[in-house]
Amino acid sequence: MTSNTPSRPAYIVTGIRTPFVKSGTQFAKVHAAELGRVALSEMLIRTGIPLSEWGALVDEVIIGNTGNPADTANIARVIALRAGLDQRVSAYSVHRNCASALESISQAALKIWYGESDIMIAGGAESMSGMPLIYNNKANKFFETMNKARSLGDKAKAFSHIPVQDFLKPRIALMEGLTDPMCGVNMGQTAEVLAKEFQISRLTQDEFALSSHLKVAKAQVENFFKDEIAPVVLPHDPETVVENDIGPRANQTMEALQKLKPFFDKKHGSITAGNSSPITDGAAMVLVCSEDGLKKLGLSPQAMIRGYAFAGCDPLRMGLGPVFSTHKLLQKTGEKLSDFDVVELNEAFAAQVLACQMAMDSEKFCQQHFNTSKIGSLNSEILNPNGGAIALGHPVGVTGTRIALTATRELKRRNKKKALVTLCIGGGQGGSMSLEAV
Amino acid sequence: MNDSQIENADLTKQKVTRMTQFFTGNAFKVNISDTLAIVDFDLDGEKVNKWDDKSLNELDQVLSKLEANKGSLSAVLFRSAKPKSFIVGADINVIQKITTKALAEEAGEMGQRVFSRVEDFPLPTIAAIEGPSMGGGTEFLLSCDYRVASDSSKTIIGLPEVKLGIIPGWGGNFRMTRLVELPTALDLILSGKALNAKKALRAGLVDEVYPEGLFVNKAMEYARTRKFKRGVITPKYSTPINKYLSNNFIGRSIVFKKTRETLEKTTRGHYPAPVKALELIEKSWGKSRAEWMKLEKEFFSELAITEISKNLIRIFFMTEAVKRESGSSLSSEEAAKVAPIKQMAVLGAGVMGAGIAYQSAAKGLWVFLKDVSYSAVGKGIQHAKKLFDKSVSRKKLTKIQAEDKLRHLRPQTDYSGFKGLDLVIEAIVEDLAVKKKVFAELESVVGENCILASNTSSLELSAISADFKNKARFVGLHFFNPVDKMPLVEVVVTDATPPENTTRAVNYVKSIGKTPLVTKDGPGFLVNRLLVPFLLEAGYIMEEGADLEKVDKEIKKFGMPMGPYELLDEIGLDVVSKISPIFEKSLGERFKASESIYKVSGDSKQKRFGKKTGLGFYKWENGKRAGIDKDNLEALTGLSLSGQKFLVSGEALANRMIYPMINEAAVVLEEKIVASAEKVDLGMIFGIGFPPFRGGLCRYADSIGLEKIIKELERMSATHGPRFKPTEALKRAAANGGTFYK
Repeated sequence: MTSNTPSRPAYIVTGIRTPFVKSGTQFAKVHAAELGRVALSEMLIRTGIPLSEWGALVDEVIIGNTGNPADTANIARVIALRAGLDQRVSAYSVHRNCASALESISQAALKIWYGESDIMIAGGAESMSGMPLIYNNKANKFFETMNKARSLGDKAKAFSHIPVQDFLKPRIALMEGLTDPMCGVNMGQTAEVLAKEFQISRLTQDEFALSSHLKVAKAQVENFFKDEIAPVVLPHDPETVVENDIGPRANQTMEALQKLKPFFDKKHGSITAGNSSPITDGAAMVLVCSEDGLKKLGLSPQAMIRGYAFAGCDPLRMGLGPVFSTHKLLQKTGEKLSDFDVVELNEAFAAQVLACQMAMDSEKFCQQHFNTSKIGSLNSEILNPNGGAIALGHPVGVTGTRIALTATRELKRRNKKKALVTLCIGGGQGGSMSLEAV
Repeated sequence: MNDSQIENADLTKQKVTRMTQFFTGNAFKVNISDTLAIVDFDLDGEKVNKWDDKSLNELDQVLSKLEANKGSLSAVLFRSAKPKSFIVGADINVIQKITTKALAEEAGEMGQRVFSRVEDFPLPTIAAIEGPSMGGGTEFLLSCDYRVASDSSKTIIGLPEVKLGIIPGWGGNFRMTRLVELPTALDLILSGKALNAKKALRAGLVDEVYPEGLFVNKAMEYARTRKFKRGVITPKYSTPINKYLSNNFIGRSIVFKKTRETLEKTTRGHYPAPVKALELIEKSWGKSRAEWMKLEKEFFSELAITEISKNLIRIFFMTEAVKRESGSSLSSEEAAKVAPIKQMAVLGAGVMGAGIAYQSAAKGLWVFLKDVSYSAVGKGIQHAKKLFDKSVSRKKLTKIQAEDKLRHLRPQTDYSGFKGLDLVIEAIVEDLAVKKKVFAELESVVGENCILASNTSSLELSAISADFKNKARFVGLHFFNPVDKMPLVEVVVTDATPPENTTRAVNYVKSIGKTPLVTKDGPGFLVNRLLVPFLLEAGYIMEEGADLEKVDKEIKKFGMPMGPYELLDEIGLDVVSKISPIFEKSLGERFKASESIYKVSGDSKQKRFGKKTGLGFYKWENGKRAGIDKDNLEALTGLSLSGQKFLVSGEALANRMIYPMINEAAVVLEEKIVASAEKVDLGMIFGIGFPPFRGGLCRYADSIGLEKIIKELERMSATHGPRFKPTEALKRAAANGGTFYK
């Protein structure tokens, strides 16, 4: 698409998310599909339109998810049905790693622009607590032999070679998912590369991390998140209802952050658990409509989706993805970085956000990569005004929806016009989206 | 979608065989396919097949015709032409009309003879069962040589006769005990429990089960190709122990003895049918078919003419009628068209609110459960989860189903999404001012078609709705505690309630598996209004120095599920002492509570509110009674509760507690709180468990005679106080025919 504005606009109408909860805590036993189910059904219910009527209205449900729980092969379908949408509504899951949920909004917008759809649901659901341990190859081989063994003797023989030590060395799906198969490097290590190349000090990173916590704390005090969060009843223990994000620390201090040891490069590194986004569980949904869709629903829009772009970059420097995708986006929409009143740039790592800021504002970097002058300076005043993933956490397949939702709501609150939503993507990509308040 | 209901389902791949019409009657159509005779039961003008004189006669005729052609036939296959329904039994209207033993014997004999003829038929007979087979339907399939069933969820096979106060009368006792092992047979005959196809196969009650979609063809194939061996029938035993218990004299004696003991406990002497069935089986064991039949006929005839059976059948008809009624002036067609309740909210996640939310979610509705905090809502959802978990452990639900139902409960503390609701039920504190405030809020957040309901038990609707903008949408939905177990819901309407809204509420109650009873607004509606005099009398009886535990026992002997003191403890003494003055104020001195009730509920040392505080008239431990708290009660009230001074018992005691209810029922009927005496009975049986074998409160009154009751009330009024004074309404009812039922 080369035109500046799509001829058939797509709007973000409303959205909701579950609390974002640090993995291994309250949501440890809650399935990603259940988190998604709560977010979706809450979003639908809160419009005041009865659940039973949505089946005839919704064209499609697109859900981002990266963990692919084995028991919900197409998690979007499970979420849609459990949320109360009836059988006729089509649903599919998308995986673009850290931008899966931004991908879901992009596809919803594209189908509306193209004239195929009017009412779309886009979102993400992730339980990083729920990611499995996998038997290693030797253990798998044992099961294979066992299955093939027909006679009792064969079975006995197979049993006599139980590789006990291999059962105790499972592969950790979460860790493998966060390791880049092209360069064999963990996501945190890619951030280390940027910190060193861009010479971003530990102190600067920790200051950034602290400010993320403090901004979230301020937003909480101002009740900013209250209207976007749907409480979750733990299905196995209904007396526990999780109402708020678990992760942000209002009492975070520089002192505490400075005490942490570098996690990925113990000797020369600066990336710590404190200046990285924690592993988190959660889900988020937005409703995306055309003008016809809005009329059918009788709802008013919050923001127009002006355009999106995804672009590739060096997997070893995946954190710079937003620079590449934003460059591409601005070319598509004809906007300038200075046009934006609010920017949500996902905080995978403090170093990575800071590196993006520097690269965008660097003539040299932009000349080298885009053969253009610099993209521009990204004013810290408008960057992640309500904090980001370092405090709230980064449920990989969900964050895209969260930042689009937060940006939309922040535009409304500030009564401003334009927001840029962007994130880096494991594997060396970036995703960006331009929103305009209506 | 598992019904093969598409018009071009590929059933024709089966070898097509030519069918020859052989017989066409009003109940049966017989076709011959090769050498197989296919007898289809298709009772003219009815939705279901049932046995009456005509259909039995026609079956007899069919058998004769087939017998005349037996040389060219290999087997006879009996089927039902009614979709997913086999035979629902004998026509209950016919049984209800049997008034003499001679008529009963005639009815028994006819069925016995025809079914024995089926059993003795010279060709192999096969019953193909899809859908319910009840009573006489089951007795019929037992007389066939072989049985195949469809695995349709609608297939159930049972002998529910005892539920109507009778026993199987057409050889079912003989044939069931012969076909399945003794403990199973007793379970089926004495409790009226039915088996689904899978369980029937396991019990040996059917020989094969086929998938629903293939059933018609598979049943034909079975009848055509199976090599039939006819001879001695031996049950399939599930365990060696059951084999021993069925086959061995000592084993059987143990089973019979244990069963008798259980029956004594469950029937408490009020329900003779299962006891008679057991006696029949025990006495006839090992004897010839003729002897079984003789005794069966005798017992059946004895039972069929009892008042108990007539009462139970009447209640059966009453509940069937409620299922069809719209509850308002709407016709059943109009009633089917009113907007259904799909999404609803319950305000208040306490015991009642959580119970209502559970019951509604269990039946597939989306339910918002709202309370002031998430911790309160969470407790309510936990309550529902425990009930769902119980259903899973009892195998009534799969884990997946239970999880799905639990997901239908949405927690909330605000009014978000209320615009999309069809119904809101308020189940918050019984405080008029609070309720009025909440309803004012509700009126501003819900859509215009949303019904607003209150679960109040003691406030009048007119008081709650005094400031409503739209009174037409307001009804009472009075559930009983515990909601999941109690079958009745009072649907309370006011003069402002249009018929559509009454029916919407009635349809909702039906949709969640409860029995609706439409009542007019007024103190205590129907059930509590009639129950309160019973409860209050317990206080006066205590003041006369009664042994409370003994009184409870006597009242249970009358047939009430609980005695008055136990019931007071269950309801809560705080509740009773709070509502009595309200009742007295609007209904007069016959609702005046005794001093003793206030003394007990107002115990200054500890909260003596009944079961919920662990102490009332009884001491309660872990939700179970642990004896009357006699010493403390005596100290509190200054009474002696030894029972030495209070010697009333048996019928006289029951009269003293029940007659005030009858006295009030007359007033309620005149005030048209409910539409008829039948509805009073329905309410009392399903609302407080008034003994069904007595037919209900009004039916019981009629059986005594209203004149006699008035005389007794006058006598008690003179001895015990004016609260017993016969009401003018009762006098008018007595003068106008002498009975409540016309």
